[in-house]
This record gives sequence, C-alpha cells and structure tokens, in this order.
Amino acid sequence: MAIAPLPTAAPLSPFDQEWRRWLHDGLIPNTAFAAKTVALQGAAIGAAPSAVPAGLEVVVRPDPSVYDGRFVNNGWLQELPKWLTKLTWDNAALMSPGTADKLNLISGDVVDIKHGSNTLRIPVWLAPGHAADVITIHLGYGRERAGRIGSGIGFGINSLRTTATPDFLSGVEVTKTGESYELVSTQDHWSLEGRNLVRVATTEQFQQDPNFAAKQEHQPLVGLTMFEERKYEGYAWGMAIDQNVCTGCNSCVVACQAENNVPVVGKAQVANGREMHWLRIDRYYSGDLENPDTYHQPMPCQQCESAPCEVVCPVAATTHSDEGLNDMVYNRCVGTRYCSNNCPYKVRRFNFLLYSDWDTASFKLARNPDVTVRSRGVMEKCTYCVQRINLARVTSKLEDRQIRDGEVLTACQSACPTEAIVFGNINDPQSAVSKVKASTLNYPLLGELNTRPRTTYVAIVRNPNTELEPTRPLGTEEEGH
Amino acid sequence: MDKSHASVAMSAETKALLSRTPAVIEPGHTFESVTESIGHVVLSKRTPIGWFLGFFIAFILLMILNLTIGNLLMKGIGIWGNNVPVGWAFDIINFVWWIGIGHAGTLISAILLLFRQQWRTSINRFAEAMTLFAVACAAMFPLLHTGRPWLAIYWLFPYPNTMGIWPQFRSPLIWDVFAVSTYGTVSALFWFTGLVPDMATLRDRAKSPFARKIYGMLSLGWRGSAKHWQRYETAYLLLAGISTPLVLSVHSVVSFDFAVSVLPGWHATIFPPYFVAGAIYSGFAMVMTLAIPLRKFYHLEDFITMRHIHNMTKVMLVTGMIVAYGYSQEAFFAWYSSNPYEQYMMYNRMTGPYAVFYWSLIAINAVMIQLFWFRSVRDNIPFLFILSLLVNVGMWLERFIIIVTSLHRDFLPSSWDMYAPTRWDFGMFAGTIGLFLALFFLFIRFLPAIAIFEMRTIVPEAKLKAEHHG
Repeated sequence: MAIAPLPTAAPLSPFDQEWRRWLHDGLIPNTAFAAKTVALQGAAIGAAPSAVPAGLEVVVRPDPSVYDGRFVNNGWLQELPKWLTKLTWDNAALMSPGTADKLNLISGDVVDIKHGSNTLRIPVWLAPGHAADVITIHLGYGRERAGRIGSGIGFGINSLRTTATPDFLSGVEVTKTGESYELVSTQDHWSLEGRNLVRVATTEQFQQDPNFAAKQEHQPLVGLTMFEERKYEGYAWGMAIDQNVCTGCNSCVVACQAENNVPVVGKAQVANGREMHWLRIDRYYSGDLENPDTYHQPMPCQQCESAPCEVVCPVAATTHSDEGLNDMVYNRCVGTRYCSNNCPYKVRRFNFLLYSDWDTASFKLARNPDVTVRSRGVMEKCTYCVQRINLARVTSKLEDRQIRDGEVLTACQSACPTEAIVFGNINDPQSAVSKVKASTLNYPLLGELNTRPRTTYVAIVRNPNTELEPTRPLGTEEEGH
Repeated sequence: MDKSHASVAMSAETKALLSRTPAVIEPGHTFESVTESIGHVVLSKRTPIGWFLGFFIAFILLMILNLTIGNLLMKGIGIWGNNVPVGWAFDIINFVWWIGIGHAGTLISAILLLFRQQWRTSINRFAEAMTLFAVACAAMFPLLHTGRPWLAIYWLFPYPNTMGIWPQFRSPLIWDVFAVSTYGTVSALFWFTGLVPDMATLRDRAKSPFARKIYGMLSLGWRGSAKHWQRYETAYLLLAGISTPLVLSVHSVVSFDFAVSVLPGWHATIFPPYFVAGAIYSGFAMVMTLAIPLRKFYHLEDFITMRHIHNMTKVMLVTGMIVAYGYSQEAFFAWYSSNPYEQYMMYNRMTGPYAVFYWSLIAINAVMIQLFWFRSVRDNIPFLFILSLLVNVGMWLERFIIIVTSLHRDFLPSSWDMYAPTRWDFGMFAGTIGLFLALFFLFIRFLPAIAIFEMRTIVPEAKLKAEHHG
C-alpha cells in the first residue's frame, strides 16, 4: 500500500518556532529562579523537641498491598502476603515484640486503642524490628462498601484519626480486651533456626573468603545418584535469584499469579495453609528481634535436576523435561500429594477444593489462555513460565535461529523492579544467568540433599558500618568440604 | 493337623511346665460338644439382643462413613484438615494403622501354622477375618485420600492403555498398590479356604433350607472325603507359605512410603523392621480387644482359654519392646547423624506442639507394656482389655507422630505450619471403625468365628485316635 505524501509544511509562526526550540532544548531560556543564599540556623535545632513524647503513638501508613484502600476489592492483593508481616486479608495494630511484652500482648490479642474520645478495637500483630512504643496501623481496611471482596474486612483507622494529625496520633491508650481474633499469616515462623538457608557475609569477610557461601554446606559428591545422569543437548533452563537486591516487594508474586491463573482461595483456606501462590517470598529475621536483620528469599519451584517429587509420583504426573524442567502434567495427576510431602522446598500447591471458578464467563476473559486452569484434586507448581519458553521456541523456529538470551522472561523476572531474578539457558556460558551462576556467591539451597536445584541463590554481601554494628561470625555450620 | 503331638515323649520338666500352663481347650469336650458350641452361635434362630445393640452402633458409624465419603467425593479432600506442608495426615495414619492391625491375623494363621503352634487354632479364624476387614478399611484410605479417586482407582494399576503410559514404578505408592492388593487377595483366599470344611458342617446342621443352600454353595461340594482333606491340607499349607512372607513384606513396603522420602523423621533405614514389629504388636492388641468380649458374650472361654490370652500378651510384650527399641534408635540416629534437620525433628517431637502425643505413645508403647511381664496382669482379663485398647491408641499415636510431626516442620522454617483434623477426619476414622465392627458382627453371626474342624483336632478324642493309629 502506498503511503500518502505528507502535506506540505506551512511556514511556521514565530511562536511555533520558539516552541520548537524550547522542546528541542528542553528548557525555556531565562526562566530560572534567582539563586538564594542559604545559611544554617543553629537556633532552630535547639528549638526542636528534645525528648520523644511519652506514651504510645499510632502511626498511620498506607498498606503495602492495598495502598490507601483503593485496591481493597482486589482478591490478588488481599491474598498477597504483606511485605514483612506476611499477613493476608486483614490489617492489624503492628508493634514490636518488646512493646507487646510491655503491654502483655501476643499476636491476635484484640485491644482497644483510645485517643481522646475515639476508640478503635483492633487485633495486635508483632512485627520484629518495629520502632518501640509505636503502633503502625495500615489504611484501607474496615470499609463497609468496597465491593464483593473488600467490604467489611479488616479494621478501619478512620474512627480514630483526626484532621489535626491525620498521619499519627500521640498519647494513645491501649487496653487489652481479652478477646482474640484470627489473623492469618502465610509464614508462622520467623527464625532461620540456625540453618544455612540465607548466606550472608560482610564485605570484609567476603574479601577474606570469596567462597564463603559454598563452604557453609557439605556438598554431595557429583554423580551420586541411582539413576542415569541426564544429558541436556539443547537448552537447559535455569534461574538465579540475587538476594542482595531483592526488597521483598511482592511484584513477582502478583505477576506470577496473573500469568499462571493462580486462584485466590480466601482467608479461611489461607488460615489452613492452602494458599496457592506458586512463588512465595520467605521472610526471615535474624538477631535481636527489636532490631533484626531482615532477609527476603523468593521461593519458586527449584526445578531440581534430581527432583525428590518425580520419583515418588505413582502415576508419573510430574516428570523431567529434556530441557531440565520439572514438568507437572495436570491431567495425569491423581492428587496423592506425595510429591508435595517429599519436596524439601514445599513449593507445590494442591487444589484441595475446587478453587478456580470454572463457571463465571467473564473470568474466562481474565485468564491467561496459554495456561491451564486447574481443577480440584490436582497438584500444581511453578513451571518457569513454560508457556513463555514455548512461545519463544515457536518464534525462534520460525526465524530459524536459537532462542536468544533474554528472550524468555519469566513473569516474576519481568516484574522485578531490581532485576533480582535472572533466567535463561545455562548451557550457554555467555547467558546472563550463567554469568550470575558462575559467581562465587552463587549457592544452591539445601544442596546437601543432592536435589541439585536449577534455581540458585546469590549470597548476600553487606557493608555495614562497623561502628554501629558488630561483625557477626559467618554462617552457623562448620566449613564443608 | 497336629496329630504327631501326642506321640512326642516329654521330659519331666516339660511336663511340669505344661502343668502350669493353661490348656488350649478346657477339658471335657468331645467332637460333638465342640461342633455344637461353635455352630450353635451361627445356626441358632435367636440372635442375642446384645448383638443387635452392637450392630446398631456399628451401623451408625458405618452411615457416618457413607456421609463422609459422599461429602468427600462431592467437595474434595479439602473437607479434611490436610494442608501444605502436612499433605498426609489422618488419611495415611489410618491407612497404616489398619493395615498394621491386619498383620496379626496373618501371623497367627500362617506363621504359627508353619511353626505348629497348636494354640493358634481357636483364634486364627476370627483373627483372619479381622485381617480381611482391616485390609478393607485400610485400602479405602489410599484410594479416597487422592484428589481424584475416580482416576486413581485404575491409573495406579499397570494396564495397557491408549495413552501408552505405565505407572511410575519408582514410587513406593505403586509398591503399596501391589503389596496391599496381594495382601487382600491372599488373605481372602486363605480365610475362605479355611472356612470350606466348616461351611459343610453348617450346611449339614442347618435347619432352614435357605441357610442350607447358602452354606451349601459356600462349601463348594465338600464331602469330607480323604481326598478332599488331602487337597485341603495341601492348599492350606501352600497358602500359609505364600502368606508368611507377606507378614514381613507388606508392612515393609508400607514403611517405604516414608523411608524412601527425603524428609527428616521419614528417611530412616530402621523403618521396615520397626514397622513390621509395630504391626504385629498392634494386631495382637486388636485380636485381644476382639477376643475378650467374644469369649465372654458367646461363652467360648473353653476354647479361647487363658493360654491364648497369655500367649498373645507375650507376643505383644516382645513386639512392643522391638517397637520401643525402634523409638530409642530413632532418637539415637537423630543425635548421632549430626544432621541439624534430623536433630531438630527429634527435638520437635519431644518438645514441640505435638509433644504430648509423643510422650503418650512412649508412655504406652515403651512403659505401659512392661506390665505384661507380670502374671497377675496377664491373668486380669478386664485390665488386659483396657491395656489392649490403649496399645491400639498408642500405635495410632505412633503413626500420627511419624507422619504429622515430620511433615509440619521440615527443611525451610518458612513453610512450617500446624495441622488440625476436622470433623470429617474423625468421621472417616470413626466410619471405618464402624465398617470394621459391622463386618465383624455379621461375621460372628453368620460364620463360625472359631474353626470347628480344627478345634476338633485338639480335643482329647482326636489324640486318642491318633495314638491308636500310631
């Protein structure tokens, strides 16, 4: 089709000429503010309040998942375990364990928070590392008319808030009511239990021993398997997750849920440990709970080379692909759950009930057509977004070439704002993922079990101010060999 | 069967020992009195009111089973308390518990037969029935605990199909399918073969033509000819030979479900012998639980004598001690392995949220059974009944501890969680108890609970004849 010729340009008016110049230069000349002279006013510093006001203070913050409440009717965000607290479907009065101790409270205790004549009845949740004597309450909950999902869940701060200080309330009174409320968190245990799951060193320790991460574990002998070693002639997919840059923001979790048609199961099912997220972010605290180190560890399927799940499935519903993926065959699965029991990473998810809505027509349009909607009684788990791999394979075959590095982005990877997740072909030594895996910081999680996971982690190297923070010894295990 | 017995010369000590040991059949019985006392229970027109009461309770429980299974098939196994990480809970606990109970029946009927243990004679029939019913209860769980039982019921069997796909033979669940189905089949054959001569007795003695017809069909044309007896004895012995390895193999395979996995608390080489001992232990407890009321209400004290009670107690003592040794070795291995995951598993069992169950099972299976050393305890029937019930509780708790505490806190602390059963978990368990009891009540009403013809071989009359022939 012939392209119509552009109309002949009319002569530009003086303003248009000027306008084009401004656009080209990116600024309008001679519009700068006059420079100001700045001087430090020492007196003002002295005038600032010298002591923290006594008593408890409530701080009002936007919720990490539903923000100010505008997303409160979104099931994905409600079920998303909140950054740090891992709470779902609720907000709570967050306080440090020390403050809770002082008030004789534990997580789930319902308290009355009184400020002036206003009272709010809300359950407490202990948040290690929270500032002492401060209670954080997130916005967006307790709405009466928010829609099918969001109505009537959580606790609204507005009954307490005043226009005078909308973001905080000083001098509140907290009284224990004796009632308790079931707050549902996806992670009940905060401690690493001295296990070498998250490996951390200071820069100094790293310089002394760049291989510190590998040395924290006894690595099994290569080739120690009953079964024939698999050979990967073509692609061999792998992933590396850099824990140095992961902020635990949860983008990957929601991206995965959207990409893979992961159902929302509701508070009662989450309470029973049946959340369906294929990718979760494990959060651990280490050290003093009033001021701990916090670690985030994204946990997708590790796609083990010698996968414990595969050998125990009686019907061969989970098998190894020739590219090293640990495939899940939904229509072959009978749901014995043996694979999940034998998974050391507990990344498998089971459809205990019919979680996906198969009948509502409008939901069909919301789903990813490239991913099976799972039925009741079937096991599922992270696939490394195999549908994206296959799409790239089709494209590359049409163009008669190999899949390029970076051509396949998993959903979690594409959503990660800090590029903590790297995915690609580990058969190609030049691929981004191979380069990350070549780092001395790269380590397999629970490698001593000889699962040989395709997903590996980059150990954390921190550079703390040694005057503020004493150096901790490396790891908990003796050196491996 | 045991006709050589009388001709064996006994030393003075053996004789003295025997005089202290209660007889396997009380004196004064003849062929006719044996046949009459056992056959009467079945052929009598009057069903005791107690039977109706017991069957009514069993029937209610059976209806709870129907309700639970119906709901389960409608909604999915989410009606139970299972979750991630505790993928198996009551379902597999009950499966292992029931299958373990069955083992005593096979041990009594097969191994004790091969070892010519005469005292097995009066308890083998109902112990075998117990095995069969326990296997029926057990088999229900691995099928119904799957997410899609309508597929699991045949996909786990190797059959040629258009998909060109076989089961995965590396999975212990497939081994289970073979172990349990073999066990069920052999137990049923063994039980039925043993019943044939008694069916003929009942056929001949039944008054009602209907009963005569039914027992006649079940007796497969038995006329009691020498040839029949010779073939019967051969078949029975062969089946005993086939059953004997099953006593060891079935529960070993069941234990592989755990031992083959990577989980701390499951991944242990001690499991097969430890499971087999536990199975026999719990099985004998169940035989005792059934035998005590049976002999009481049907006045069978002459046939199920104190000798049987004593011997069963002794078997429980031995196997219970093996199980207790297993517990000690589990703890020792956890410590000796220096493996933090194993060590934590043991620490969690002893001090964690389920510690009360762990210590209860230790109290029952390691401490309480020491009471069986005392003759006064072995003689105290009501007390033994309570102890045998407690042993069953203890063995159920053992499986709870092995399955739930290993799963609920494994490698990554992030996925640690708690397990709590729902009413449907209890419904399923109570329901299988109902099925078991209902089948057992029907069994004692319609079939001879004690092998009549085998009992006849141990009355003095038989020995007399044997001596004449000898």
